[in-house]
Amino acid sequence: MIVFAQMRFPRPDFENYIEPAMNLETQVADGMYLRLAVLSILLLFTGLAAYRWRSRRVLLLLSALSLLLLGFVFSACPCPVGMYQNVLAGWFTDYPLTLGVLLLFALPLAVALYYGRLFCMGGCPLGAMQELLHFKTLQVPLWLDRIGRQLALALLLIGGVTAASGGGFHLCHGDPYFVIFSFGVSWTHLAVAGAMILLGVFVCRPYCRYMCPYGVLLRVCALAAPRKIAITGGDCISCRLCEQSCPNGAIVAPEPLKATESPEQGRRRLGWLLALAPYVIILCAWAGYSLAEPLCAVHHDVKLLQSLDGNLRSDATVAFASSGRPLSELRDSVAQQRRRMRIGLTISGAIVGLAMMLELMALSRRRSPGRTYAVDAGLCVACGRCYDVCPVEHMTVKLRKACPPTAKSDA
Amino acid sequence: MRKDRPLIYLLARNAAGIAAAFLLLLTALVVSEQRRNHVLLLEADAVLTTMREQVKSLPDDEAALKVVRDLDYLYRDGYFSNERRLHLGIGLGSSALLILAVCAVAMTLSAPVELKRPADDSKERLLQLRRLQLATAASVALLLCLGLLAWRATHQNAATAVGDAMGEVGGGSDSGTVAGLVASPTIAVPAAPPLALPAALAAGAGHWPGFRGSLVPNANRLPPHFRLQQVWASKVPLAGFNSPVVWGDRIFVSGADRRERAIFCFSLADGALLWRASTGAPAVVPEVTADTGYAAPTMAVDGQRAYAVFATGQVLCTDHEGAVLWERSLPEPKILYGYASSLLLAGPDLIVQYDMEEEQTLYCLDVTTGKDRWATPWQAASSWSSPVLLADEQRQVIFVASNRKAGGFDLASGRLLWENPGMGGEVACSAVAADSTFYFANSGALAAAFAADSGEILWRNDNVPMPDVASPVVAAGVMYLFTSGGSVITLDAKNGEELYEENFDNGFYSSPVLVDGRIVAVNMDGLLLVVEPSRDSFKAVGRYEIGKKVLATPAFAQQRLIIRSMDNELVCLEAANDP
Repeated sequence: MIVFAQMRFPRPDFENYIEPAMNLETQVADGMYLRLAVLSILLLFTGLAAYRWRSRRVLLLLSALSLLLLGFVFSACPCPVGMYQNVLAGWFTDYPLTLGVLLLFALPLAVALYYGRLFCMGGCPLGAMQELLHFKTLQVPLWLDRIGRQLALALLLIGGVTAASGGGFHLCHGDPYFVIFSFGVSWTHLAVAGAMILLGVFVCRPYCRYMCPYGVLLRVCALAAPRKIAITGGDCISCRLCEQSCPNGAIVAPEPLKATESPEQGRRRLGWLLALAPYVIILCAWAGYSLAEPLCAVHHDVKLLQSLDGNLRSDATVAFASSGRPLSELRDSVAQQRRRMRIGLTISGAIVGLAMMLELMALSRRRSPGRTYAVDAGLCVACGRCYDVCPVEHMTVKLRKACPPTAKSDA
Repeated sequence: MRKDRPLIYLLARNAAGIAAAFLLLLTALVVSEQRRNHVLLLEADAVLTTMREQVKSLPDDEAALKVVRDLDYLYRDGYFSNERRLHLGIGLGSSALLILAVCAVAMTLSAPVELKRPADDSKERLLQLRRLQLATAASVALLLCLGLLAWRATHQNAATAVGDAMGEVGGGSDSGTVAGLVASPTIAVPAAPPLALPAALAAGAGHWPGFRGSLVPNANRLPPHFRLQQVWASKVPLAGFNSPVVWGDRIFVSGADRRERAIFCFSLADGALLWRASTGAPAVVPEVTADTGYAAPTMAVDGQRAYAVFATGQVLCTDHEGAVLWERSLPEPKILYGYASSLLLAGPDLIVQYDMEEEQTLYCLDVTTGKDRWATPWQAASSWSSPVLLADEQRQVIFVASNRKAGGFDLASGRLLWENPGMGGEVACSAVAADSTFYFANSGALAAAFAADSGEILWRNDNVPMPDVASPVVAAGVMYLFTSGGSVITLDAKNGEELYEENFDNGFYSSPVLVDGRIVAVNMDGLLLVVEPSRDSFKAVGRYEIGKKVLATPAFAQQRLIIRSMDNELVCLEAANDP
């Protein structure tokens, strides 16, 4: 609803009344910078816990702290998860983008560029909620996991295109945990949140893996990180005990010495994938283009114009009629939004197609046999579960305790 | 392994179980209660809304008002109680979640690590890869299906819209030819820049561009001796009391009802309906009386565009081919009977007199975009009159009459130059401009001449019968008043003295117009008079029975008179030379 405010009455003239000075901008800015400070400290300690101390217990405590502070105290909004919409809206429309929002968006990505996805464990209240309430791991099959992750990519692109074309921040409506952190009053959201938490008890981090748009960006940044989480503090002995320890599917097993298919078969499959890739990309781009028109309905101006053309009366149409805004201006705005959505979603469709084919090609690629167990930096959320199951890690910790690098005398 | 679990783990596990059970139960209870209350509140809201509407017609019934107030209080109390319970439920749930989280942390920290032996399946990876290939193919297929469905839905909607529009061609001309296409797409057709005022006025002189013709003496000629014969008659698809306007070989009228508002274009040659262009839906459709309708204001037209305004406050602009160039919605119109002020086209400016019951504004819109060039509010009253422009080398003044006062506005800036109270009654007549003076007469108000620069009343005459709908005309120094009682009163334009009176059986609603120095007037019975202006006596040099009732003002172009009858038919009469 568009509201045009107008001062119609003079302020009341009370005797001896001093109107208090309000500096709303400062209050908002202070809250944002405090949130940034808390996040920075949490990320710092998460990095220490993941790389230096290698302690799942500390990581768990930091996760609980992020849930308490960033989740309940700061009510989880704004949060970096949906903030890419703000950034895109600020870039492509006249939405005012503040420095605080930009920093909050960029900080976890900057950390991920060097240290991996530390934010998911020690800075995200949504991830913390899922991490802490996960009790019984049901491993998601690899193929389902990989396909499911494309949904997050699709949500990232759709949300981004919508925000960039001036359609608002609709991805936040899809956050199932927001109603809990904000003590919201939507019972439908509450039901969805309950279902999501129940799912999370058995499937580790379902939102993070299959719905979080920010996780896609973190994954891309983490892949480029020079520092990666190592399962073991020493040399891997390929005992395979860590293979089933990661509920996120982030541990990459080494290639078996004996290949399960011939190199020729592998090359043929890769060739087919390469040949099919352009067609898949084009078809997905066309699908994105076709979906642009129905998805345009999320735009306020599009809905308003549809109501006006469909002779439907609503608060929005009455407000529009009273505003004096020319209908031609509304039609121009809608035409521009439609154009942006079409272009954006066409490109998004192509990206999704490309991502699916790259995922297939990555799995098809055979690495050199006999490599040790490693962590997929893009998928690892630094939960530390693998530390506890690795015997070399235990030995290394014992040795470190027995023979510390610098001897300290305890009183 | 379970025997080795420490006590703290067991305690935390049990506490977590209790918290989880509590959470599940609480969520189920809250969700079911909220669903039920949501339905109840919606029903209560609907009942309350209906009662509020009903009680508006009983403003003095205190008992009814009390019932509504009490119900309103109960509804609000119920609404906020529900909100508080939901907040409490979510608060309790969040607390249980926190306890659950704490227990989970305790369990994780205290539990021994469980080692899982991986499955020994060397072909697992290949199997997963094959399944991923199938899943990818299925995902792509699903995306394509969604895309196809969306594409079909989009194209079906577009086809339906065009089909609906095409299907509404109705009311063709008596000649049987309906060339009509409908619902031109909303495309901004680039047009040449509009003419400046002097050039526009001069260009308009050869046509019939607005209510009562051109702002400068009309250049259309009437033979000295002529006879009128009907050439064609065409039905206008939608009703309206506005008068036709003409540019070149095209006649433009507007029509509207509660569902649709449209401009219609007819051929001057044979009356064929060439096209119609409709507005979008308005936010509000006001109530109007049957004798005003939704299309009372007369259109305006120039060499490139046609303009119409409707009782919904919508202003529509099309080109001569029916393409909508822009559309504008003015604020919600609230006026008794319905909005009726005709448009005034002054070169690149479109003047809209928007005098409503609560707010009065004179708008000047840019003809190319419809945006405000200026909009001047003023403290007047309702009006059904139309603005009149006096433009010469010294001044460009717009005369606006309302129920309470008359005002003069500067065309260039919109500034209110002067106001003159003394109006009264319900003003529906419009002034006429001649010799730097505005001549005005309206029953219940006054018959007077206003100086264009100052608004000073040069003379007034309150002792003659005055029209209440038909606007006066000034020709050869004589002011003619055609009244709805059937009288034609003539006043000396210099001093307002009555000269003579002529009476007819039926009254005049249609405003007389000046054509080639002669006055053309039509009464409600359809008697068309051509009057030679004279100070001495009433000289009707031509009479013609149209055979239909007429309320709208005739238009004249290319030796043809176009009259819109009360039964919504356009009648074209040719003034053939009769030596």
